[in-house]
Amino acid sequence: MKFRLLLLLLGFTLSFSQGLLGQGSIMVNRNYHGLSLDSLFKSLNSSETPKIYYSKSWISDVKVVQEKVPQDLRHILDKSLENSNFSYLIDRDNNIILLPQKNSQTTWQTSQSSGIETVRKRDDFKKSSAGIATSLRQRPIKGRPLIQLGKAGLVDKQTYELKGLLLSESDESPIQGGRIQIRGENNDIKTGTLTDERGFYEINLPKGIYEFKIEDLDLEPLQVRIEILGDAEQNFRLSSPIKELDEVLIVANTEANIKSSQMGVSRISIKNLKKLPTILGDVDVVKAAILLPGVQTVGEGSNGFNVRGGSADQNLLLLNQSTIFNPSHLFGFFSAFNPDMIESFDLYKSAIPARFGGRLSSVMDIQMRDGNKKAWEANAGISPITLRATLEGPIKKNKSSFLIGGRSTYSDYLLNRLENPLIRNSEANFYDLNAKISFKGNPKDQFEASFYTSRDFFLLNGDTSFTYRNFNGTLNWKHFWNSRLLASNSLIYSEYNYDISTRREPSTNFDLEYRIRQVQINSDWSFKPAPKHQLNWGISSILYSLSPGSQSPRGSRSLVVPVDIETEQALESAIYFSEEYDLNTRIKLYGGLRFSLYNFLGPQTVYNYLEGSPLDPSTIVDSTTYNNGELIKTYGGPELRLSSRILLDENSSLKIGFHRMRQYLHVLSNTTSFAPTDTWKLSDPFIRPQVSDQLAVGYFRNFQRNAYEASVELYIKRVNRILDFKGGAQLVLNPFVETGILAGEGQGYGAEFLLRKNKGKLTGWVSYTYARIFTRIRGDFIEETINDGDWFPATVDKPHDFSLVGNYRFSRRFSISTNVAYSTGRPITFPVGQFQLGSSNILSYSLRNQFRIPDYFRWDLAANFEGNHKVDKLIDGSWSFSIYNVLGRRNPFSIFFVTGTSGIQGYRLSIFGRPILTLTYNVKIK
Amino acid sequence: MTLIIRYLGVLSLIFLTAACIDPYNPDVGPYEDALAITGSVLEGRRITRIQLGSTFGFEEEKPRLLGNAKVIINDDEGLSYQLEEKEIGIYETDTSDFVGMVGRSYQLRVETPNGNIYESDWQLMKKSAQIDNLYFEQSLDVRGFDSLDGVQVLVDASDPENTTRFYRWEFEETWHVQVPMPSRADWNTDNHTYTLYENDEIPHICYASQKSNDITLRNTLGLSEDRLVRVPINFVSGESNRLVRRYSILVKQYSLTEESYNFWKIAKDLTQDVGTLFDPIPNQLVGNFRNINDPTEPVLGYFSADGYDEKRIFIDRLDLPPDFSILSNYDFCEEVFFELNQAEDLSLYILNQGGSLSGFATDNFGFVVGFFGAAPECTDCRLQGQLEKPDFWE
Repeated sequence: MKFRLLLLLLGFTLSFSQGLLGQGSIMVNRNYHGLSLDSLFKSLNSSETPKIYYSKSWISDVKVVQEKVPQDLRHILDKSLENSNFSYLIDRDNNIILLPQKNSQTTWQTSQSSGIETVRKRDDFKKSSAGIATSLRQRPIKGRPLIQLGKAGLVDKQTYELKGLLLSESDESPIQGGRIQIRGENNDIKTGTLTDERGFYEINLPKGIYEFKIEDLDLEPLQVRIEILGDAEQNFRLSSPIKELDEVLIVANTEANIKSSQMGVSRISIKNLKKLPTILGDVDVVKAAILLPGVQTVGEGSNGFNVRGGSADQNLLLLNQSTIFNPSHLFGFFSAFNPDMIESFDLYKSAIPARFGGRLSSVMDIQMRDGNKKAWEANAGISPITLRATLEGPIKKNKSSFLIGGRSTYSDYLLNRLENPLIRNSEANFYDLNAKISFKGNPKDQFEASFYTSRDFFLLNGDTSFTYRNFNGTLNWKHFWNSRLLASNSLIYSEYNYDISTRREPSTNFDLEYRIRQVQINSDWSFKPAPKHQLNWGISSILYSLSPGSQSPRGSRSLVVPVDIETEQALESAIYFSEEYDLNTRIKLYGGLRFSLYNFLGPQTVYNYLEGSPLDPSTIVDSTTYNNGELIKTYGGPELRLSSRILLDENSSLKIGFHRMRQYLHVLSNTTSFAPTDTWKLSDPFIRPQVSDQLAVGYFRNFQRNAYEASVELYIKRVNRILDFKGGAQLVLNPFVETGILAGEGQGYGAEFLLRKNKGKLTGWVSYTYARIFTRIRGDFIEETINDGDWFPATVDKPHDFSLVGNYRFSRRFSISTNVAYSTGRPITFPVGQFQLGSSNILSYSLRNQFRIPDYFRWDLAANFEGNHKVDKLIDGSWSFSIYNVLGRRNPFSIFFVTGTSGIQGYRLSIFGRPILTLTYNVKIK
Repeated sequence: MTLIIRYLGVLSLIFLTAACIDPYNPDVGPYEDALAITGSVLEGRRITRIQLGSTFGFEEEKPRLLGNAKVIINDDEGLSYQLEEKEIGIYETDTSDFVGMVGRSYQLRVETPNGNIYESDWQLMKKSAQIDNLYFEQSLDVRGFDSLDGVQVLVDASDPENTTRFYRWEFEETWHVQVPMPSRADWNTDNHTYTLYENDEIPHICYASQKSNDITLRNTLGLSEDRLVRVPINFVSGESNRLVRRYSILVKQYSLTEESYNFWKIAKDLTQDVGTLFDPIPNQLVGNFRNINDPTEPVLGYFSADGYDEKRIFIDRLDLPPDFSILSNYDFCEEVFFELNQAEDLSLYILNQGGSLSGFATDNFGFVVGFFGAAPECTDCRLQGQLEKPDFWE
């Protein structure tokens, strides 16, 4: 038992970097000479730190050799263990781990947690192509093992090539963006690399001994000493910390921060989000994204989020490559993504890579995690509104796995408890279901199938119901042609639909349906001809089918006339190519070109409007009818994606990026924040695609061995043909919907500052953003113009935005975290007076967005308790208690005005106007 | 559709028990002073009433009205009718002279004393749809977590020719007010004496009335028949004093053109469908008047030529079920007694505490031995209505 514990401990606290990290020495102040080593260890373990991990049986006959008092523990150990079969390690926290030296090789090989792939067998030797021979031998040097790679003298070269894969220890999945830092023994060489999407890395090194440090997000970092003797292949595995409360909150790849050419990307792992305060208990990727610089919302409880002033429909939300059209549950209070099913997400907001397209502002690329390939596992969680459960396990051990998870509400139970008859007869509930199967055919092929569906249901007063659903599926096949060429092919289906049904008044009862679906194929290729080059290319094609609305009478007494707006069809295709190139050690360049083409296809009736007059049903001249598949309108063009990185010194870099994006699909909405009933609309002859350009410059600097990272990003952006809407325009079930739509332009700029602490007991970040975004709607006619055609602040223009996210770890089992968020109030249109119309008093409004709601400020707290850390515990529970809006500040979501007999009364509506307490219990069963 | 969004908005707030709505009055600066014209030509031999007013500020109750203007209705046959100024800013047609004709187009022209000339667009007079039924039923009004007992007034309307399609309703409600301690005399606080009212002057029973503020609109575009059933017009709360004895409501139904309907729809969206998660983005309301010399001058209001029908019903206390709960506002009424020699105190009570004389204490011989005072709400119905019985009151 103890032995097993030791091995596991080795797995996650292994460190060979005593010298590197320069710990202080541990002095032994009493004379133990001649006593058993066990008694020395016992007395040391009774004090606070360090801890010594060993098995008593190993050292029962080892005596302490102590030459003086006081003496450094390391000297004592060196001497005492000199003639024994044991060596020792000292980790970062000065813990001492005793290591059976004679057995060290077998220990390493059987210890899957060690992260180092087991020794190559003879067969591998033969298979090694191009004469690359590898060997792995371990030899403890001063208690620290050294791994020798490559066969000396086989080929004599200046530098030797080391390559291999970085894999997750738990499920053998490749780790993308893992960071390998390398430091020469004499501190003469410092270099590093990042793994690509296959988890593949490659680096050239001269002969010599190196300290390797391998890290990725929340996985346990691995440190090894490696001696390079020749060309070699070496895989590494990183393990998850098993029950340690994570000391790291959210770590974007720290060094990647400086070294990658990509900027404006945030990679966030779900595990780390689980420490943040939540509202109503569920970890929420969207709410977490809002804490990042440059990401905002219209207000609490609004659907989606806004990136750099873009509207919520300008974010491409991908769950395993498939588009999620409605990312919200229950009016936006929950996001559509079950946190237990997600590995991590990347949010791109500038220099968006060429493989993405179709939305203007950002790409949120969410990866569903793989099921456990080794053992069965179940997770469950309960919070005030939701219940969650997942089950995963191997289908064939180490080859294939499944993961299935669901989430549901029991909110109806709560609603039904209330006295009010209207509420008692109302319902609001949702569920979502995810499933994923991953399968490794042979070393060269990987298959994945994933599935997502969600349903939200609302019933008001027992007579009007509203239901919406997401339905998504992805089939993916990855083929590794060789270690340099990877192809990933996907077939993707995405659907969103809703229906409304009323049973209120027999003569007007109706059913209404809306649906959008897309079938997509993606083929993405990645090729690395040389360490300095990285080529990517691919194609993508989406066939849209959109049913804008059909309404039918409900019941025989209904007078409702059936309406069926014609289905829209379109094909969006894109081809892209990009290259990333290391010009020299300082400069990395990325150039990408995406060409997108959009065809709006029949069958369709297109109305022709009288030239020189505003689009209005009354100005329709005639109409043109197109047959099925007939080409109606084509849009498209090149989209340039450029970025570059210049290393200024080892700890800082400058990045410049530019991107152009095109968007062919738009949400029609004339409410301030998107309503659940808002619909997507395809570009057509009247609604042209939106286009945006963004130029960004960033300065990135890390301090204190990447413990702190700081960045400043500046951007300017310009958007053409954004959509706005005429007052009172009917956007659903309107065959002439184009008559209600206005086209405008936007421009914005901003500066985003971020300081992040990644290591230590206190982790988190502080960010401040100053950003502006303006809109201009200047049509040819007065009806198509807003604010006299002048620029005005857009609805998400919140110039000052500050957030602080912090987590303090008191012990491995207890941590607290906090959020502080401040932003300028959003612009709003106020009435400036009133006038009489008939017998009613009507508000007379100012120009659009001339006022602001009061500033927003919120403080949240959370405490997280983990169960005990026994390794083989069957059930492992954890508690999380959070308070959202501790101060109970009534932050206004909106201000509205009501006319009455004694003038106009203003009101402010606050969504979470008091502290929200949530207790969540999560349990893991192995 | 907007209705659905509105329902969802309401539902979201109900669901969110942490949501709260607080009064908030931001400083919006001075309002823009603009001319606001309201009124429409009505079908048939009816009085067309046009009001010239101004925009007015947040705390004001009424607009300033503009008198001495020349208000003219032009029709498409070249005829003009000048309206007569009945009171300041209110201009009316003479029913013996002017009749609104279905199928004819009308335009309003306003010449203000300072020489500006405003003209509306031409408007086609719609044929009127009928109010088929005006009725009421007992109902429950749910506001947030509270619910009120009350009466819902409903309308059925139809147009057999299927041409009306766009409907708007207004109403005027009138109710019987009876104070519990009617004052029998007027108290003079200078010399502490009283003057007895004549019998018909005693402010015991009055008739209060109020016009609708809410805009009620419906269209039948999506329906196979131009027929509307059970359109809720007004909810009368049992706590409002209106249903204590007798209540009457006059419902006015206007048949609109599509453009006019759209204008009212936007006005309603801006003013009434607010306070949820999914409020419409406010837009400026563009009416159909313009200054013919300065088209950029903002002029508010909309002139239309509407088909018209009206109906009135009465609701007596006896029409309602016996268990229908009606709360009276007069439960708080209490009398204060003053002796004859405390007449000065009564004056002070009236002057300083806002009280009023409610009655006299007399001895067995009918001699006044003292006075009763009470809150004026309890003694004088004129604070809520007028003594004169309306013509229509049955």
